[in-house]
Amino acid sequence: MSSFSRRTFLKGSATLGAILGLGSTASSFTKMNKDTVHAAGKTKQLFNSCPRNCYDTCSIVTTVEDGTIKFVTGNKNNTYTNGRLCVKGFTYPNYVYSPDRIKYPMKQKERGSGKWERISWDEAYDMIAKKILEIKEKHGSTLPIALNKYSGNFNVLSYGVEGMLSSWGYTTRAQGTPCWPAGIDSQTFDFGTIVNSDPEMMVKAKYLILWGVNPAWTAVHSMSIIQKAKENGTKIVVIDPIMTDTAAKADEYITIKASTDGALALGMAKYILDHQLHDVEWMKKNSIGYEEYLDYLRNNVTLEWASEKTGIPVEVIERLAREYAAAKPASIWIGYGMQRHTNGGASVRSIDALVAMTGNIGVVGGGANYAQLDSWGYNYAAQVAGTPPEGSGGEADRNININNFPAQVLAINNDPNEIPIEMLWVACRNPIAQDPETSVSYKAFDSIDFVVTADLWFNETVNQSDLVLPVTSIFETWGLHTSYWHYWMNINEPAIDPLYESKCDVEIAMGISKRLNELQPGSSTYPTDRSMEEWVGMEMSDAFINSFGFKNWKDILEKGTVKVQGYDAAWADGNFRTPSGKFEFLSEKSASFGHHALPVYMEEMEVPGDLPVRLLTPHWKYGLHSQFQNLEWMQSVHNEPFVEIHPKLAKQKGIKNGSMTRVSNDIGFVELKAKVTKTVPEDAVVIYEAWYKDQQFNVNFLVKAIPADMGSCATGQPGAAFHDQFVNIEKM
Amino acid sequence: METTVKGREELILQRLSVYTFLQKFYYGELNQLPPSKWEKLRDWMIEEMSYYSNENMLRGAEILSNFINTDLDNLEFDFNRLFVGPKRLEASPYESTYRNTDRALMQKETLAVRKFYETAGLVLCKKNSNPDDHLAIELEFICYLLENSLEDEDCKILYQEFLKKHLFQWVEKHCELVREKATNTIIIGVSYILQGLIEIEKKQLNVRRR
Repeated sequence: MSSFSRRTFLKGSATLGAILGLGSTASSFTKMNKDTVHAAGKTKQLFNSCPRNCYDTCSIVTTVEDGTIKFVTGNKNNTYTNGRLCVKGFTYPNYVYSPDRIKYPMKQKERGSGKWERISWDEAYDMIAKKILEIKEKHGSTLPIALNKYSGNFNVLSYGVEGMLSSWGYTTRAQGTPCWPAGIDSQTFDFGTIVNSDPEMMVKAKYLILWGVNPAWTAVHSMSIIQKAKENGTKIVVIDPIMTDTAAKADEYITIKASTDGALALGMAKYILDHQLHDVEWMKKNSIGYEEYLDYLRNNVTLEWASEKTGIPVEVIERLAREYAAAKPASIWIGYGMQRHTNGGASVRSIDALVAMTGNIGVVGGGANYAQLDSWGYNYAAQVAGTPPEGSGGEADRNININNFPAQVLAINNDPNEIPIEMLWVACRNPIAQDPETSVSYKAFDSIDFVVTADLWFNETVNQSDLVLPVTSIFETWGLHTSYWHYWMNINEPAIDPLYESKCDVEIAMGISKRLNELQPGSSTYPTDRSMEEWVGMEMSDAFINSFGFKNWKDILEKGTVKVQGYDAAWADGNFRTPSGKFEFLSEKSASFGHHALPVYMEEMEVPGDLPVRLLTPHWKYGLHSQFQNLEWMQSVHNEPFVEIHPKLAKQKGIKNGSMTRVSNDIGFVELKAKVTKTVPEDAVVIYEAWYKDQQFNVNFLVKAIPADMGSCATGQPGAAFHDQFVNIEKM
Repeated sequence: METTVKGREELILQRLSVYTFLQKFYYGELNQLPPSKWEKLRDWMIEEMSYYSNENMLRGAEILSNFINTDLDNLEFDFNRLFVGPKRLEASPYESTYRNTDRALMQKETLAVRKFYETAGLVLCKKNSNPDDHLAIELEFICYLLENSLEDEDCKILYQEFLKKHLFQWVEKHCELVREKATNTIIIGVSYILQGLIEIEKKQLNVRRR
């Protein structure tokens, strides 16, 4: 090393100081004091809750040391979670501490350019507030602002996002739900609403049919209940077009042609009627329209017809019907998969009717179990906190169908008579990965002036945004979570400080409101000065606090979870929430929505001649929609999409295990490796829906926005017929 | 005798200014620097690096000094793409991502860094929000130890230990990754300077150890 004089250094140092402004920045460090030393060694356990769109909604115990998460496990106080998490839940430490989380508010120079600039929260709030005011000034209302938000985070506080938009004025909303609306409508017509029996009571069933549901992948905690029932001697039957892991664990697996579930239910009902195994007393006492239903069975249904439709031999249908009717109680779990068809709602109604005619409603261990929302005893405080400010332009929110959002956005933006959509807020969602017709999604985004996405992860939706806001994980904020399946309510307390500069949705709502009101007093009604603990405290309804025997909401912190009582058997009181107060085999309401009043068979969608292969896109075991598959731990297990194809079809196409294939239809294509397996039907291929980080793959390039038959009554919009998709497959 | 002390002091101060530059760079503080200041910085760099006979440092200064306006215009975008996000970090500035098998932060590798800070009586202002093992923070810690090592023998030992146990373990890998992913002249130049500095430190500590 060369020698140099002190004078030289001083000169050099002074120059650097002058250039960089040395000493002007605050240090990252502070001196330690005794408290910090003391706190460092302490280990504590806190309660969290998984907010994902999943049956199981687990109560989590998080072990924290010196402010960092050591591990997570299931809360034993919650008998459904039962002390265990699933493969996805156990990855949470890897999720929280991924180096690839979005850390700061950032703005993109040009959408899709990858040229991101870091900005402060104040700058972000300012940008957003000014855009809102500019739109309001230009159009006289906030209707050009659209919200696309759904199930990425079912924390009740996430509904603060809806509240935030309302606090600005009337806006445009993606309305409806992609997952389950057809089935919701069916049960709304039949029972008055969705209520399932406590799944922990499945153990009391003598006979259990899992119909179009794969709990081994998507509700693993129910799987252990099913396993226990099996050990008790309950016969477990799985009905599914795919031989799932659940089917593999059942006593009997029945392969059914996709979309013909209604025919099987009606065929079984016909057998039961013919052999007088039905419960006439129950029907007389609890239902209306059963005679018309039985007449329909007598006149329109034969087992031969059911067999031909479903591909299930007559003797199997007979045996299944006999066993189901003879076992008391017998339970059916109606999955969401089987209602993602153009006749899905009608199929669920046929199953409901089958359950009702055998008197399996209102009995412990029985039921037509689909879903429930009775345990959601919330005040929705974060949502109702935002109401349109006085003098807001417009008369109400403008709703567009979440299941056809991109096309509807384009229709609006291409119509000069419509108020255009100029700003889009995306939260709790990755619509470009999850919405059907991906290529239309891109066009829709292109037609919108300003897109803001609040997320933890960079994905295609963020890539097509102008501004991205970092949000907290469950471990960094408050929350209250309930399931749409079991009856537990879980508290979620902050276990650690928010990473980087992340904030939860309600904090973002408050920040924008503050800035809006500084720029234009009265332009947002959203509160600005509430702590997240105060917010969560406002959520649990008094009725629920009383029913739990709590003094106040904080009592839930003792065990982290509490169960809503009274649902051992759904509809045990016989008070159905239909117009007649009875179970309605014949529903005028159904007819008023353009469906048949009776649970009749609706023909399945015709297979197009030029696209002979059905495409099924069910849930993947290592992910949930676009979540989890992006994590390092998941990637190390599996990180390559594939298409499952039956050996027969594979042979026809010259496809071998591992061959690269091109799956295509009239709207797009995907290219991926084949996995040859007998678990899938001969006339269908299976590609699991998922978002793979940093990969081009997206199965929704093939999926059309075809509406399911039902959903408009209870959710405002029909569901999506995700499983009525048709393609060609070729070896590449 | 006096000259030795003085020599050591100068050596430390000299090194401190390079560390300070690197630390500021990794905090992102140079991303907004106007071209006029970058020109001054270039002159400073050429002069400073000429005192070292390390090849990488000289190369770094030379590469950096050839920056053009596009490099400056894109500096922040390129910097964020490599080190900040929102996309997957192309050249993570966190030590644990190089040393933890799960590429996870805040694990034992990060906490070992925290332990060093605590031994020096320091704690991060944004502890648990900002991972302790971000390169800018580690470099700031080195600056703190260097500054104090003249009067405090403990700091000198910590300084050497921290280099050996931490920066030596990953920074060169990081620099190579940066060069693999970066196209920006400034960022590539800095990666050589940083790598060169680590090489000098390594050489010196090994010599001393012998």
